Amino acid sequence: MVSTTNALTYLKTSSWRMRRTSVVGFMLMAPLALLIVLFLIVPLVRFVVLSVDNREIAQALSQTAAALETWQGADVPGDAAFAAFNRDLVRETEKGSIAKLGARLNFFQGGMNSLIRKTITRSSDLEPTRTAFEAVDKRWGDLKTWRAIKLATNPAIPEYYFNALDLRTADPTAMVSVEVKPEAQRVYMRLWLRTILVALLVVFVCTAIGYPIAYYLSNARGLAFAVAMGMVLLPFWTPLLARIASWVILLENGGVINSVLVALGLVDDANRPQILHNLFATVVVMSYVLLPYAVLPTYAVMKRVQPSLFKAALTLGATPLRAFLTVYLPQTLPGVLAGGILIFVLSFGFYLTPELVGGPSGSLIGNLIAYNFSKSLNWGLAGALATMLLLVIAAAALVLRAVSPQPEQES
Amino acid sequence: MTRNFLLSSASAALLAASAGGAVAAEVNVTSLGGAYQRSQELGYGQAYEKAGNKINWNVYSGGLGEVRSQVESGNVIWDVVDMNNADSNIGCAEGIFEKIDLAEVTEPAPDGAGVDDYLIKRPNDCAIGTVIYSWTYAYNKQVFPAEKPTVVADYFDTAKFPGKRGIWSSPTQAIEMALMADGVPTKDIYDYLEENGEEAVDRALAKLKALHEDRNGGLVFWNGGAEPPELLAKGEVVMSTGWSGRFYDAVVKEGAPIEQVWDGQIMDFQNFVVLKGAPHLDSAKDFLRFATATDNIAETVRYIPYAPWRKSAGDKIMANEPWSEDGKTMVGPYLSTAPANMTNYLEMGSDYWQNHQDEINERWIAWKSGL
Repeated sequence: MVSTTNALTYLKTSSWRMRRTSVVGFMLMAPLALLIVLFLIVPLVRFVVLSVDNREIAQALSQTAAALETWQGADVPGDAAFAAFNRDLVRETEKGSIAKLGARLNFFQGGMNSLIRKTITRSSDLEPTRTAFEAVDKRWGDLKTWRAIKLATNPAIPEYYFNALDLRTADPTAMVSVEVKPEAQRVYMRLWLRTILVALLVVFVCTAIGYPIAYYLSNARGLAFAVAMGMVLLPFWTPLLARIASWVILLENGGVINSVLVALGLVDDANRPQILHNLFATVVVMSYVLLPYAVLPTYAVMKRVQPSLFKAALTLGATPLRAFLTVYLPQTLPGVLAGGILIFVLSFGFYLTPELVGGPSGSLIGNLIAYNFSKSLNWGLAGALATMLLLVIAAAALVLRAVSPQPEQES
Repeated sequence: MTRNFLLSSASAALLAASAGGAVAAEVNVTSLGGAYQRSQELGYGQAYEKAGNKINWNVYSGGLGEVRSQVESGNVIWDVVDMNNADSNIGCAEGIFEKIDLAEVTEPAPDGAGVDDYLIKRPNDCAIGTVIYSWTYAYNKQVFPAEKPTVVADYFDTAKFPGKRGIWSSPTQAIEMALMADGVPTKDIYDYLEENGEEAVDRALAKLKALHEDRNGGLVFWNGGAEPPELLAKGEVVMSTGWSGRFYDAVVKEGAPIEQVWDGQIMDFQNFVVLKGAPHLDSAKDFLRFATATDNIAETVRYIPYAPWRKSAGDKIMANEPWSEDGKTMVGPYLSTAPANMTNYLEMGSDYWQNHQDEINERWIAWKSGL
C-alpha cells in the first residue's frame, strides 16, 4: 500500500519520460489486450450468461407462467393452465417460432419437442381443456410434463448446471429441489470423471517419460543437446492433425504396431488387440502431444540445479538413490509440478485428439461441449459445461502459480 | 435465356436484367462430400460453371446444427444445402429455410412435364427433391469367403461372422436395423417405435450394446460417408453400415473387395434446401433449376448410382445403359429402386425422426458415452 502523500510525491518527481514510457508500454500491449477482451472475456461472459439465460422461452410462455403462478406442483394443473398454454401455443405458432419453443422445451424434458409438434397439428380445433389435450397425447396428463413447463417459465434457471452434473430439478415449485437423473440419461458425471482420470494419467505418463529426457537435456552439450532438443521441439512444428493421423496409422487394427505384434507371433492374427478408438488411444496420443510441456519446464529447473550439491551428498556418504531422492529431486520438483499442472490444464480442454482416436470410450467432456454447441444446439448446457471446465482450469492455474519457480530465485 | 427471349413478350430491359443476373450467378452449395458430392460436381456443377457461373462448394456431415447456427446468428454463408427428408421437414417447420415454389425451379422434362415429372411427393414446401439413396450394410468379401452375410440379422450375428462392425455415429439406421434383427417386422418398425416410445429405443440400444460388448464383435463409429468403404478396405471392420453409392464407388473405382447387403435397406430421399437469408437467393434458384433439369440430374447417376426423383431422368438412364463413368457397368442393379433390392426394404421414417430425433439423440449420446 502506498500512502496518498507518497503517491503525490511520486507523481511530482516522475519525469515525463517515465510517463511516456508507460504510455508506450501500454500501446505495445494494446493489441494483446484487445484480443483478450474480444476473444476471451466477451465470449466467456456470453457463455456464463447463456448457461442461465431462459428469457426467450419464459417470454414465449408468458400466459402459462401467469396461470401457473400459484400452482403447487402436486398434481396436474387445472383447465385454466391448459387454456393459457394453448394461447401461448397459438401465438407462437402464428409468430412462426413454435418449432424453437418445442426444441428448447425438449432440453427440460426429453420428448417435449415431439409432444408440442403433435399437439400443434391439432391446436386449431383443440379445446383448451385437460381432457382434450390428453386425448391428443396422454403425456399431457403427466405431472412431469407440467413440471418441465413450470420450470421453463423462469427467466433465469440453474437447470443447465444441474444437467451438466446429471441432476435435474425435482419439484419446480420448491426453492431448492434436486434429484439425480435416471440411469439411462446420465452422461456428464461419467465424462467429468473420465476427463479427470485421463488428465491425471496423461500427467503421470508425461512426467514419467519427460523427467529422464529433461535430465539428459540438462547435461547434454553441443551436438547431442541440439539433436535431443530438436527431437523434443520437432512435434511443436508439426501440425496437430498430421501427428494424430500418424498415430492412427500406428494404432489401427491393420496398423504398424499390430502388424509387428502379429509378425513377432506375440498376438494371433485373428485376435489383434483393439488399441485405437478407445481410452487407451486417447491417453497415448494425448501424452505424446503434451510431452514437451513436461520436458521443457523440468529442463529449465534442472539447468539451475548445482551439480556440486549432488556430488556433496555422495561425498558425505549418501547412496546415489538417496542423494537423488533427498537432494536432486526436491530441487527439480517445482519444474515437474509446473509441467504437470500445465499438462493437466491443457488435457482438460482436449477435443480434437479424443474425437479422432478416442471412440466412445475415449471421448472427453470437450467432445460433449462441442456436441452441444454444434450438433444439438443446446447452447445453455454447452455454456454451463464450458463455465465449469473453466473453473477447474482456473483452480489448477492458481495452483500452478503457487508452485511455479519465482523469477527472484534466479539471482 | 435465348429461348426466353423468343417465347416471352417481356420487355428488353427486364430481359437484360435477368440475363445479366444469370450469367454472373454465384452460389454457395454445401453437400455431403466424397463420391456423392463428386457426382454433383461432375454431373452438373462443371457444366453450370462452364455457362459462366460460379459455385463455391462446401462439405458438411449432415444434420441441422450448422445450418441452425448460421440462421440463428444471422450470419448466413451457405445458400443451397443438400439434405434428407427428415431434416428438411424440421428445418422447414422451424422457418430456417426459404419456401421455394417447385414449379419456379423446375425445368420442363423433354416431354414437357413439369412438377408432375417428380415420382415422389416433396416432403415440404422448402425441399427440392434430387435423388434416392439407401442405408445398407456391406462386408469385406475376403474375410468371409465361404458363407456370406445375406440378411440384416447377419450384421448382429457374431458367431457366424466374427469381427468388428462399423456404424454411424448418429442413431439413424442403427435403431431400425437393431429392431429388424431383433424380430420386429420391417414394415412395422416405425409403428412399433411410435407405440412403444422409450422402451422400443431401449430394446434397440440393448441389442447394439450386446453387439459392441461381444468378444467377437465391437462397434467402430464413423462420421463421414466416405469412411465405411475405407474401414472395410483397410480391414478395420468386417462389416459396416453406410450409404449405397459410397460402397458402389469403392467397388467400381477401386476394386475394393466389398459386397453390399440390400436386405433391410432403408431407402432415403435427398433434397436441396435454400437457407433463409441466403446471400444469393436468386442465383440459388437459378442453380436449382439447372441442377434438377432432366439431363443434368441424370448425369450425376454416371458417377454414383442414386436414382433421380424425376421420372424423365430415370427413363433416360434406363434407355441408355450402361450409364456409368467407366462406360461398362450397368447402374440399374445398384439403384435403391431396383426390384431385386426391394425384397425387404423400409422407407426412411422422416416423420418419426422429425418428431423424435431430439430425444433419441439425447438417449443415444448417453448410451454411447457408456460404451
